[in-house]
Amino acid sequence: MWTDIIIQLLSGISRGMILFVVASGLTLIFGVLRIANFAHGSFYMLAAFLAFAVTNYVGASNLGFVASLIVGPLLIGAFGLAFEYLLLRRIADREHLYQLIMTFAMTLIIADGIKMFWGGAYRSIGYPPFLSGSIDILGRPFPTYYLLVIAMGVVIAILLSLMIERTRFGRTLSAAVVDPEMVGALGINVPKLYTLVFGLGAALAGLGGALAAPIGSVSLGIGDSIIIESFAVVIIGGSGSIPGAFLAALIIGIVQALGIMVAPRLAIAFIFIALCAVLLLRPQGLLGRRV
Amino acid sequence: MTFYSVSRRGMLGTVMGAAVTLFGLSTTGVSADEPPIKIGLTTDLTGIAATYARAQVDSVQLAIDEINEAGGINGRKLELLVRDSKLKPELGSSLTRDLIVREKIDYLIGPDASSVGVAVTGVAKQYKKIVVMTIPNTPRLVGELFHPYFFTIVPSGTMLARAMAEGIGQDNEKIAFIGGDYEASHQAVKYFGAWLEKVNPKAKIISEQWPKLGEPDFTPYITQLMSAQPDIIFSYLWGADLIAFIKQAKPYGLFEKTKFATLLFTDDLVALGDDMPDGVIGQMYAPAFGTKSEKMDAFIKKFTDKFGHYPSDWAVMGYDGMMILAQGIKDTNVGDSDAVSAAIQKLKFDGLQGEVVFREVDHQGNVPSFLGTTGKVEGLPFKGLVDIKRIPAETVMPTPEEILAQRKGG
Repeated sequence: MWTDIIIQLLSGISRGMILFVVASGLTLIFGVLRIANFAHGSFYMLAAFLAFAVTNYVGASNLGFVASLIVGPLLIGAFGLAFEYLLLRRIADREHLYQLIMTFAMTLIIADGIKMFWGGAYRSIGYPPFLSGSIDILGRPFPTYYLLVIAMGVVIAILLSLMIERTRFGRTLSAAVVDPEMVGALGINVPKLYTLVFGLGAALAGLGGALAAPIGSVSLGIGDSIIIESFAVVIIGGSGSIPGAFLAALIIGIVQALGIMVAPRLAIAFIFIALCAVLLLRPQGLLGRRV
Repeated sequence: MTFYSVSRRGMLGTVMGAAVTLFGLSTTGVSADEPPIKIGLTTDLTGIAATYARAQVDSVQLAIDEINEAGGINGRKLELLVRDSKLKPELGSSLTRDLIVREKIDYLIGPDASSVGVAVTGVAKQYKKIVVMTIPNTPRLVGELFHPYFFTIVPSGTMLARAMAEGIGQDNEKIAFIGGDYEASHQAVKYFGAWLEKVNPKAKIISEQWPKLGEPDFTPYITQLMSAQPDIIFSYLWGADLIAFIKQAKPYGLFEKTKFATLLFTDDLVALGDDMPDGVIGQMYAPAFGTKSEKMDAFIKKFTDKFGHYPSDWAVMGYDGMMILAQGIKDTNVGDSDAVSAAIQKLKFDGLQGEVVFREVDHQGNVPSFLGTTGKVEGLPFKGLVDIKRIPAETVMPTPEEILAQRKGG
């Protein structure tokens, strides 16, 4: 019984960590640029397909896996920079609706692009050889790869928090959220700052996609559920808050995993129940600032 | 200024129209003396089942090319018109109607998703057009939605569920189920359970797991399934969901601890490659490697040469479906729907998987399904099934009485 719960808990945490990596990028973009980036799930999906391509090119080896973890986020990050610089920036001072439409258009473009390039077939890449087995936890096998995912999530959380609280870039960022005009008046190039944040956010979606690729399938639908869950993380955690996103992603992962043990038929609803509860009790999110 | 531009555009239109008309006349004039026989195919080229539709279009086209190269049917060439229903039943209806009314197609061949299949068969009934189904397999098609212009060469959901019960019911008592939370999978567990009572009254379904379609994370379900300690798990997961499930279940040791039986498509075997665990019991519709014959070997070679990959179950059924339709047309000298329907009804079609005949009561072709265990197969670039058992349709088909009762709403 307790072993069941602990194993279930660990798997919930590992799922939560992938969600955190993806959603941290979304919350950065939403918190700083105030753009609800619908294309975020597509960035994640594109990274999974890139991971598939890289693994095929380098070989299904440890090296191939490491390469996919580097290439995916870098390319998606660059793609994000270009998207913001060439398109989103042009409509920055219009209504938010336009940005919403443009990011949504990007989801369609990416989906069709993937279909043109890789075709409609679903694909799969295996776990990297050095993480393909399982380790013993309380006499039960637990996938080694999930431990890497958990570790990666924690590392990314620490790095992002340090970046925001301890670096000049991070402090400028926090200031730009509160008063972009003042930051601009102080001689800081705010549009450039926005582009960088968008690129960083996209790269995080890319890292999430590359990390998740060996666990699931690489197929056209995988961006859909992650984008919904990521928005749930942003709302539950509070927009722009990295610790909030971390907490929210953990909650979603754990609630899903343990909820299934109690009421399997309600599994689909758990996220939305959590979402509603937070919206009613604390609309600014768990660690969000009161607006 | 405005006037000028409008008139210019008008003139351009006239010129273009004339050009199109001329071009149209000249091409039909060159290609054949007789107008082509038009075959309409509404299928889901967009969405989660797009790969299946692609194989269907390719294989139907392959069959048509072969017929045309051999001179067509009574000197008339076949022409395929494809429309993308995007997994939307309403769109499937309107595109099929458009194919019939505007494009004046003569016959229809099967769509992809069952939901679209239900829509297409409705339109076919309304306009009295023959439709041969090559992928959809909801039992409703032969049940309450049946009409005389409908034929299917796909093992129905009922047949597959019963075949699975035949295959795994005898040796196992505690059976756990996992399937996507949607209609087909609920029906599967219903028919499976009912047949299980006949096969082995002691057997029981001890746990049911219903993840949503497209679930990215199966681990909570995996631990639940394992803690139920079943003799075997019956899975109605397929496609990308099955792939995610298998990859996630493997490191938990599920395949060592429990037997696992699942619906399986060639596409899944190709995608998983060496990651497919050995010893999984797979139920397949129409695997090309499941039937050894010269005909099948020739088909595999032709398909692989042309498209660069191994033909899936959908390709096998798409090719046979088109050949059956063509035979029906030929036998009636390009007759109307009633004549072709009667001709197909009389056929003893020698297909890729053997002889196919259609029952009068529901026009269900007596197609087999296959059960085997996964493993390395000689000459196959991915894992296939070994110890393949061919389950004849006759053992699992609903009786005519059952069909009639179902049609009355039973």
